[in-house]
Amino acid sequence: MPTWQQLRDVKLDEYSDAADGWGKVSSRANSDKDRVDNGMFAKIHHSQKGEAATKAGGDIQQLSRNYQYLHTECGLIRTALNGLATELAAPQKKLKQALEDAENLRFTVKPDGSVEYPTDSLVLSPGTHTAEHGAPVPLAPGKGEGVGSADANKGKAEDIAERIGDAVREADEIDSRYAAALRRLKADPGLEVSAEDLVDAAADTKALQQAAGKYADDDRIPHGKSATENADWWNGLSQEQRDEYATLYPASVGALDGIPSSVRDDANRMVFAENRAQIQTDLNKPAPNQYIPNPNGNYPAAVLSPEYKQWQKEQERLKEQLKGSDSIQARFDATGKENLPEAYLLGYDKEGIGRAIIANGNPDTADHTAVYVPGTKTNLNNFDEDISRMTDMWRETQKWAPGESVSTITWFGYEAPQSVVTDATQKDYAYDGSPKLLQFMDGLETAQGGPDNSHTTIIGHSYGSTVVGDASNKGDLAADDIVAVGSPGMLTGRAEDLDVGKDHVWSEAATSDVVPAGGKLAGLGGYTWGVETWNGVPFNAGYVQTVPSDELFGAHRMDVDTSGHTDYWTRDSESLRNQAKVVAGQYDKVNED
Amino acid sequence: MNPTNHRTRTRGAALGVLLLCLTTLATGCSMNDTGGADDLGYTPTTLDVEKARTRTKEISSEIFDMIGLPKGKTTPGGAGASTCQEDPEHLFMIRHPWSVYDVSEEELKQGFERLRQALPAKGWKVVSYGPNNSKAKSLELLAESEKEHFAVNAELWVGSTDPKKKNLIGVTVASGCFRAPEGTDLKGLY
Repeated sequence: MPTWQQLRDVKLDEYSDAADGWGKVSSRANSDKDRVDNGMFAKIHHSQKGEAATKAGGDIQQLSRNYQYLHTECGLIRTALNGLATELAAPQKKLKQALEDAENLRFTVKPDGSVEYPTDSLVLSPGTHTAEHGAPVPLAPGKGEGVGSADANKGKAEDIAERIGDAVREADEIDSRYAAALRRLKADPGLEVSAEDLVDAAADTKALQQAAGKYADDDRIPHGKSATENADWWNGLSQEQRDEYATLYPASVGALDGIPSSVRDDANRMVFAENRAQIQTDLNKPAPNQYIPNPNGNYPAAVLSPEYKQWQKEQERLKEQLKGSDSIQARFDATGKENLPEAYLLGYDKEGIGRAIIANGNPDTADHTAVYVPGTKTNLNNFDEDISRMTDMWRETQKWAPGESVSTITWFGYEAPQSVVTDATQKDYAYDGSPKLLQFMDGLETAQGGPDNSHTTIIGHSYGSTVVGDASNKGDLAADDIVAVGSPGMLTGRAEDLDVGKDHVWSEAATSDVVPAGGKLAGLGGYTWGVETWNGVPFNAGYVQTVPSDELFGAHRMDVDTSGHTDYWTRDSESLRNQAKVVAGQYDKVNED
Repeated sequence: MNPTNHRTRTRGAALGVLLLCLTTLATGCSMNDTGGADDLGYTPTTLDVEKARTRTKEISSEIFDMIGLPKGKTTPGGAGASTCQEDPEHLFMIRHPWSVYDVSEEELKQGFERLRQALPAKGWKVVSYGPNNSKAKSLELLAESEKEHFAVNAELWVGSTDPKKKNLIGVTVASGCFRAPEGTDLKGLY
């Protein structure tokens, strides 16, 4: 319990100055971590091979983890000290006011906080008395015990004693809260940050979120607001406030569409690293007792204990989660390999089928941006290909756009259906997912500084294109071009009805692709009045369902099969090349039907 | 072929393969996507990933030399490895896309012609050459190596006066599928 003297004398700006110091260390650790993640890995790939590369890579990962830990923990210390200083200001002020009042009334405040006062009465004999806080509540200062015969000073003294007591109590509560949080933030000497340490860091963050609730509240972070509102909020914060929110509430900050990509990346990587450490730590938990005597007879003599079965199930679940984590980590580790650009983790969630949004190259400053929306069965447990599709796209696009910067993004930001159902519920996934896509695209546009700053292409694969179609129907999709690959339908009858305008819609020409037919069965196409043609030959007319590969839909139908024949120049290569030309804005160069 | 019949036939046959196809991650799948490595039409050679990558870049270098524009700038993107759909746990391929730019249109045209002429002597069969199906009708060539499992695709882009949309010769050297050596983990391949 602090004394009132301590509360009076504490220099709060010493705490905030110390906080600044910790903040600088935290920021510095963050920059260093970026250098490790983006620079050093690249250098390894250039100079080391084989086992040397693996060992060096492992060392670099350890270094990255050390910096991550420093960034988080020092950031938490900064926030704890700032919170302490800020919250103590109020009771300190109250105390000082009470002390000033006592001085003006010529009362003496005793070391124990009680207040000595001279009698001020017409009827009582003169003397000094002591009022303590906690005395029977004075009705009003100076009006304690009857008019006239009252000691006018008694009430006043009691009031002052009460205010002193309150201030000290308030300070004590604040002090205990922050002391508890700070006590956690101690490191062993010679620390090599292990997975367990990062798990601790996550717990420390949670603890400080509780303790610093009044100082830095999650509620102050916008939730469910537009990208512009998010950006406005962020722009209104001081740099220190930004650091604090990002360190204390990394998941909330990482999800904010509209704020700079590097900020989201830092915050999401914090959550990702802590999460990864949690999975690894949990996987290391030893198995419980494996066998128990068979309770149901002698054969078999022993059976698996229920605890063991539970542990097994848990291990299976964790291994699945680890796969997703591994995929993302593998992308991080590949930065710089063959000039692969920096990765920005713009979204991450491990729950359920997971979510991940990964950009190759910073979209905020890109001349050309591509956003890929994957389709049915997308799942974080099997995510390598969804990432590499966009790294391949990055490489192909930059070839067509020399001197310009390119960013390609894998957007797994919606609940993708995990199986095909051919009834109406299939559309629900698009209905639910499209607002998130709209918001994300708005966020990109805001972070880029406006609609004209980057030429943006959305590439919807399979069911992903249905989400894109619905997004276009629901709102104003912030994109310049839409590519639909293997589309079962876009819930839109004609290309011209999509937000980008007819000339900016691209699909792949149908070959023996069954997806479009299946899509129509599920009702994922759109309806329009028109004449259906095949290679220009009409075969049907009326109010018909169309999908993007139909001629009637009116999109540019890009070639998928080459004019020449070779085993090594595959349909995939041709498809990638055409899509990349659209991403690069080189429309007249696309091979189309 | 009667378009109506085709549509009915597609729809009828589709249902059986529909569920299989729609649940794959393929860019779009055809009714032929039922085989594995057998579908390739050739037997993949076993080769270490980094060796394949190095070989691909060597070929890129040879192509660059055939074009003969040493003063031209080249884009920085490197050679990427990715798994082959036919057997993603064992098969991989390398793709190296790059372009030559910042030389005059005339030089680009000459460079492209030099490439076309030099390829056969270096063991490449030019499978197709001519204006392609784009609005710009760019000259495009596709060549396949007679000795190794590699293909080269090149396009000539000229006629742009927009400084942001550069004239260039765009090349992609793409390997066929290789089999990774026993025990190689192809997850997280870039």
